[in-house]
Amino acid sequence: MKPKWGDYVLAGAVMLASLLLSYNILFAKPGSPPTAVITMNGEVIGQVVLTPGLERQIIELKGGRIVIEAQSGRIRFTESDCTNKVCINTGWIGTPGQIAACLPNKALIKITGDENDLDVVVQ
Amino acid sequence: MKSKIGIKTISVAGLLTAVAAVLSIAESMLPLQLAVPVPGIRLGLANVVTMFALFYFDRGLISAVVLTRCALAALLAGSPISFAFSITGSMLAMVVMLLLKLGYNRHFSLYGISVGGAAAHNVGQIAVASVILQDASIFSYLPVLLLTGTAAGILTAAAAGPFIKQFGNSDLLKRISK
Repeated sequence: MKPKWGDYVLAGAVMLASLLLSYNILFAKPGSPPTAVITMNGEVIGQVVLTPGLERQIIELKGGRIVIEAQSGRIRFTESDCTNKVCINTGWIGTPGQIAACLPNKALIKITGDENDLDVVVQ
Repeated sequence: MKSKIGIKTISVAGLLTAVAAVLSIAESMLPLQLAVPVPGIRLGLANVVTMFALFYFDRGLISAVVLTRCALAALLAGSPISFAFSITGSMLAMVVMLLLKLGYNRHFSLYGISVGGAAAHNVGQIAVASVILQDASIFSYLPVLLLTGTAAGILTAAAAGPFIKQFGNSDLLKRISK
């Protein structure tokens, strides 16, 4: 089974698309402290500004069935009652554009730059 | 020109559906997510069956095999959410592969068909995820999924190739292919 020219073009196009789509993450602007936005069912339920030297914060959702830990410049899921644990395995995130998602719980942490205005700050 | 589906066709389609469902369930047990922590990463082994069907069945029957496989896999080892992912991804992949198949042997080999199908599957998955989460930022997983999907697509094409060739020479499939 020999590849044809179209195969290379197609695979190249997919790779190029992949590269273009990851532009925001690869070339994220450093400087301002990133903000972690936590959403559930599409609603923003909290934001944490991940300033350097931020004290360790624990955020509990769904009455403690999901636990999120924020630190200096980074945030992660530490506990979740979902089955696949993809959210926990994602580990720390902290670069604008990065996300950690827990699909079974419809919970999402996304990192944004400083352009957004804060509605809620989780203490 | 619509003719009744023969018994042989039905049994081969049933066989393929069963094989595809088993492959789906088996690969969902592989802990690929430990290596790459992105939701939805998978080998796409069931796509071997879709590619096979592409060469011997018409569109209607291919859709039936894909639909039944997704339903079976979700019922036996999944959830309504996993069904939403697999049916959207698989149907989109099937449509793209049917289109790419038009250029088979001239512009594309099985590799191109498979990689195109994998990319379509990934786009479908992410679209469903963004609807579930009601947030489009999940699309930032798409680049990783496209890269792993391309690798998986090449693997599954390499796996499907010999089957399609071997079975293509057998009498059984020659008789059902018309």
